[in-house]
Amino acid sequence: MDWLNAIVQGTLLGGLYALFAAGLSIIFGVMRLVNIAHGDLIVLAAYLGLTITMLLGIHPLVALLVLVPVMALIGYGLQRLILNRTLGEDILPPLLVTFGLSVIIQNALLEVYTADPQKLQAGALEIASLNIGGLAIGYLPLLMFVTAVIVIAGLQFIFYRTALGRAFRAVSDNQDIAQLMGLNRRHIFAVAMALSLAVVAIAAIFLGTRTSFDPAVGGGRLIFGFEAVIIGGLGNLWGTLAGGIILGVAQAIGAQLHPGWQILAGHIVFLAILAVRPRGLFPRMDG
Amino acid sequence: MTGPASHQIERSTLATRLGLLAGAAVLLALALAPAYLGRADLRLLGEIFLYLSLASLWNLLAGYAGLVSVGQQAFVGIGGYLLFALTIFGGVHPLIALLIIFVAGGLVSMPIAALIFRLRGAYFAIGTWVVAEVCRLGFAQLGALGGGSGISLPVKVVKSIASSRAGREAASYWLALGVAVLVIAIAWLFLRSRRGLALTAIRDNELAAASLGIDIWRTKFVVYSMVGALTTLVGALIFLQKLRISPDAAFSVNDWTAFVIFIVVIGGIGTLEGPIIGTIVFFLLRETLADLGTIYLIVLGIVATIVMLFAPKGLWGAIKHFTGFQLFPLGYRVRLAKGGKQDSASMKRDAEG
Amino acid sequence: MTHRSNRRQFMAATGAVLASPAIMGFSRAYAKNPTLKLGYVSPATGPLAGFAEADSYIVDGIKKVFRGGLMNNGKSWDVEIVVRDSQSNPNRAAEVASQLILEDEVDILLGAATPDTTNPVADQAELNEVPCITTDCPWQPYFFGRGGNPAEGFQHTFHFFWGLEDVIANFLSLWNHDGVAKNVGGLFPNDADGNAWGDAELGFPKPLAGAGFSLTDPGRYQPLTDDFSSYITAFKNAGAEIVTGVMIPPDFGTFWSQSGQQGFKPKIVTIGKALLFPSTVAGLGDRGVGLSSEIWWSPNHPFSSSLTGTSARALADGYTSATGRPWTQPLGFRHALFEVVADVVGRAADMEDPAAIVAAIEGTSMKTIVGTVDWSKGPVKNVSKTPLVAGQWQKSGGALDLVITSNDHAPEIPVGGELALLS
Repeated sequence: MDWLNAIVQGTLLGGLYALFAAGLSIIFGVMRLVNIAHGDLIVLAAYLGLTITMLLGIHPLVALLVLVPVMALIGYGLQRLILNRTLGEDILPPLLVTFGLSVIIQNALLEVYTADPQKLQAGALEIASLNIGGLAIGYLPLLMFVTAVIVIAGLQFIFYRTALGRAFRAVSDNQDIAQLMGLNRRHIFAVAMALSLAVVAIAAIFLGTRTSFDPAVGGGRLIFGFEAVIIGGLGNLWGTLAGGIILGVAQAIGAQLHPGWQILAGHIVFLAILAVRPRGLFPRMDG
Repeated sequence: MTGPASHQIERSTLATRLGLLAGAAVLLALALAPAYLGRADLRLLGEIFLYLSLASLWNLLAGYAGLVSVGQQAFVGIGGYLLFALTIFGGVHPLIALLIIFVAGGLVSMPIAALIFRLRGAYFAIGTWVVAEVCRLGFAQLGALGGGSGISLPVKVVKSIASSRAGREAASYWLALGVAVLVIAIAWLFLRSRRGLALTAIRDNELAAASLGIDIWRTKFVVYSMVGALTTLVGALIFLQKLRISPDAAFSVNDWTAFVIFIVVIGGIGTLEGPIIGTIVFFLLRETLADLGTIYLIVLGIVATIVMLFAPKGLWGAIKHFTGFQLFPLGYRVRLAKGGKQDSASMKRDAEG
Repeated sequence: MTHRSNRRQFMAATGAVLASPAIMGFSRAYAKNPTLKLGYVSPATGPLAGFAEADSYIVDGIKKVFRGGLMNNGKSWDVEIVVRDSQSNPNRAAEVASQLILEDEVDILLGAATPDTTNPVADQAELNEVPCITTDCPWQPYFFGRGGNPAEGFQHTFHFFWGLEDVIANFLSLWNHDGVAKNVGGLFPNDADGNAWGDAELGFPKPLAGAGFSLTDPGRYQPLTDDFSSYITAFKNAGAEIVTGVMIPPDFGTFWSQSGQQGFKPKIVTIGKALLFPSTVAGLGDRGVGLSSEIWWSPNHPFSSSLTGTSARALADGYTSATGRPWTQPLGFRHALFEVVADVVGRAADMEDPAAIVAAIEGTSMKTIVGTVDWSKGPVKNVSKTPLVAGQWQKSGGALDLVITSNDHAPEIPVGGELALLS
C-alpha cells in the first residue's frame, strides 16, 4: 500500500514536472534553444500571478486569465527583441544569453519583491482530497496532473494538426528552406516562445499554490524540466509527459527506499535511459 | 620554406613574436610577484589564475572539441573533495595529494566520457550537468566527508605546506600561477600537435574529418580526459584556498561552469587568448561592482547579453577581426613577397576557421 | 579606503600595472584619530536573504551611534564598517571574508546567519589570525561543523547564539501537553542544520528518548524536495501526533500542503528555521495559524541595548516604522553583534594588537538586547549561549503574531499565551 501510494504521488508529481517541461519542449523542438532562464521565468510568472491575485482579489486559478496572455506577450517580445538574434548553428550564444536573463530576472525579483517567501492562496482546494480505496489523492495535485495532460494534448494538437504546427515543424526541420517557402521564421520562433511562456504561466500558478517560492527557487527545478524533455524525445510532447512521470515515480520510489536517494534516483534513471537510448524514449524529430 | 620568393609561409608574425616576448616578461613579473605584492593582491591574482585555468580548459572542450559541457563543476568538486579526503584521512601531504588528484581526475573522467559521449549537442550539455548533480548528491551522502553539511580543512593541514604565513601565501600563489601556465601551455602544444589538428578538423566538419580517417571518438576522448584531469587539479587548488567544502559549494554550476562559460564566451571562444581577456573582464566587473549586490549580478547578466548580441565571437574575436593579431599562433598564414598582390586577408589560412 | 581605491586602479589597468608595480605601493591614510575597521559578512542576496533583510537598517543605525567614535584607553577611535554580501553562497562568503581580511585589513571580522555564512567566515579568520565574532547559527553546526575540538577550541573565532540542547529542551516543554501522544515525526534535511539536529549523538534522538518520546526519523532528505509522501506515510504508520524539524520555507510548504491532502493531521507542528519570518507564515494562510517555532528574540524580550538603551520593543517598532515591514528575529542579534564589538573596544588593552582584542573578546561579560553574552560560561570554548524560548503563531484581532508559550528554560522572558493544539 505504501508503495502504491508512493507511485501514485510520484505520478501526480510527474504532472508538475511535465508542466515545467512542456514549455521547454516546445522551444527546444522548434529552435533547439536551451533556455537556462526557464526556471526563473516560472518564478517571475508566479510573482506576477501573486500581484494579480492581490490587486484584483481573485483566486489564483482565475488569475490565469490575465497571466497567460501577459506571459505570452513577454515571450513574444523576448524572442523578437533578444533571443532571435542569438540563434544559429551554435548552442552557446543562446545558452549564455539565457543564463544572463536568468541572473537578471532573479536579482530584479529580489529587488522588487525582497527575499520573503511568498505563496499563492487557493483556499480549501489546497488540502482537499479524494479518497480512493484508502489512497488519499489531493484535488490540487490531481488538477495539476489533469491540466498537464490537457496542456500536452493541446500542444500536441497544435504541433501536428494545425497550420501553425506545420510551420513549427518546417522551421524545425530546416530553417532556411522554410524561410524560402515564405515562412517568417522570426515570427514563428516568437510565437513558439509565446506558447512556451503561456505554459510557464500555468506551471507557475501551480508551483506557487503548491508551496512557497522566493526569487532563488527557479534554477533548482530547471534540470528536472530538461530531463523530462530529453527522456521523452525531441518533438514528442506526450513523450515529455511520460518523461515527467518517469522522473516523478523514480523520485518517489527512491524516497521510499531512503529519503536521501529521492532526487538522486531521478537523475540516475535519466542517465540510465540515455545510456540505452541516447535520443530519448520516443523521439519524433532528429536533434 | 624554400619555394619561389613570391611568398612565404609563416606561423608567427613579428607582432606575435613581440607579443610572446612581452608575455614572457609578464610571466617573469608574475612569478616574482610575492616579492613585491601585498597579501590581498596575491590572493586575488591566485583566484584569477584558477579561473583562467578553468576557462582555458572549458574553452579547449567547447571551443575546440565542440563538447559543450555544463558539468565541469563535477571535476572541480571531485578535486576539492579528494584533497580533503586524502589530507584529512590519508594524512597525505597536500602537494603530493595534488599529484594523486591529477591522476585520479583523469581516471574518473574516462567512464563519464564513455557514458555521455553517446549524447549530442544540447543533450550532451544537459547530460554533463546531470552527472555533476549526481556527484553533488552522492557526496552529500558521504557522512565521513561532512555529508550535506560540509567539512573544514584543518588548519594544521594548511600549515603543513609551509610553516610561515608568507611562505604559505607564496606557495599557494605559485601553485595557482603554475597550474594556469601549465594549462595554457598544454592547450597550445596540444592544439599544434597532430591530434590538435585532428580536433580542429572535427570541430569544423565531423563528416569530412571522419572521411580523412580521423578517429573522432578517440580524439574527443583524449581531450575530455585531459581536461578532466586538469580541472580536477584546479578544483583541488580552489578548495585549498577556500578551506571549507560542502556539496553545494563544490558542485556549484554557477561558480564553476556558468561564470566560466561567461568568461570564455565574452572573451572569445575557440581562441587561446579569449579566456585571458574574459577573465580580466570578469574580475574587473566583480572587483568594481560586487559591493552593489543585486545590481552587480544584473549588470553581469546585461553584459553577457549585450556582448552576445553585438560581438558573438567575443571580445578577442572582435580584436582579431580588426587587427589579425594572434598571441598564440596555431595556424599558418601566407605572406606575399613585396610586389606581390597584398591580399593576405583572403589568403590567410587560419586554422581558427 | 585609499588602499582599496588603489587596488581598484590596479584592477582597472591590470596589464599596465604588471609592468609598473610601483602603483601597488600601500598608502594608508592616517586621520587624526586611529580607525577601527569592522568587516561584516551576511547573505544580502540569494536564498538566505531573509536573514539579512534587517541588516542595512541596523548597520545604518549603528554607524550613527559610532559616529562619535569609541573610546579605548582614553583615546577615541573612529569606526568604519565594511559590509559584504555572501550571496548566500559559502564559496563567496569565504572569498569576501578573505578580501576583508587581506585587502580591507579589517581589525575585527563579523559574520551572521546560518552555517553557510558563519563557518567559511570564521575559517578564514582563524587561518589569517584575525579576531572574529559571529552569530545567528546554533553553536553545534558552527563548532563541530568546523571540526572544533571542545578541549582545544579555536584561537581567534568566537560565536554567540543558542544550541541544539536549548531548542530540544524548549520543544520538549512545548510538547508536554495533555492529550498529545509522545510520538514525534522528524523532518531533517541533509544540510548543516538538518544533520546537526538529527545527529544521533548531539541532536534530537537521545534527549527525546530520554524524555519518553518516540521519534520517527526516516532519514535526511535533500533540500528543495518536491514530494514528502514517504515521510507522511511513515508518520501516519507510526501514529505521530507531533512533527518537528529544521526546514527551509519551500520544503515546509510542500510538506504541509501534502500532509493536508493526504489526511495527516498532527496536533503540534514545531519547525525550526522555516517559521521564523512572519511573511512565510502569513503566506500559508489559515494553515499557518497554530504552527510553532523556536524564538531567539522578540519585542517582548525584557532586554535593552547596552549601546543605546533602546528596549527590544522600541528596536522592533523603529524597524517597522522605518521600513513598513514586520519585525524579524535576526534584528536583535544583528544589533547585539555591534554591542559586543563596542564593549570589546572599551576593554581591549591594545587595539593595535589582535591578541589583545581576542583577549578582550574572551573576557566579555555583558547584557545585550538578546541577553547575556559571556564567553567564560560557554558549553565549549569560543561559544556563548543566549536564552531561547518557544512559541506559537496565533491570530489576535486578524493579525498574526508569534506568541511565547513556553519559557521553562529562560523564565526571565515572559509568556504571552498558551499553546493551542492544531486539531
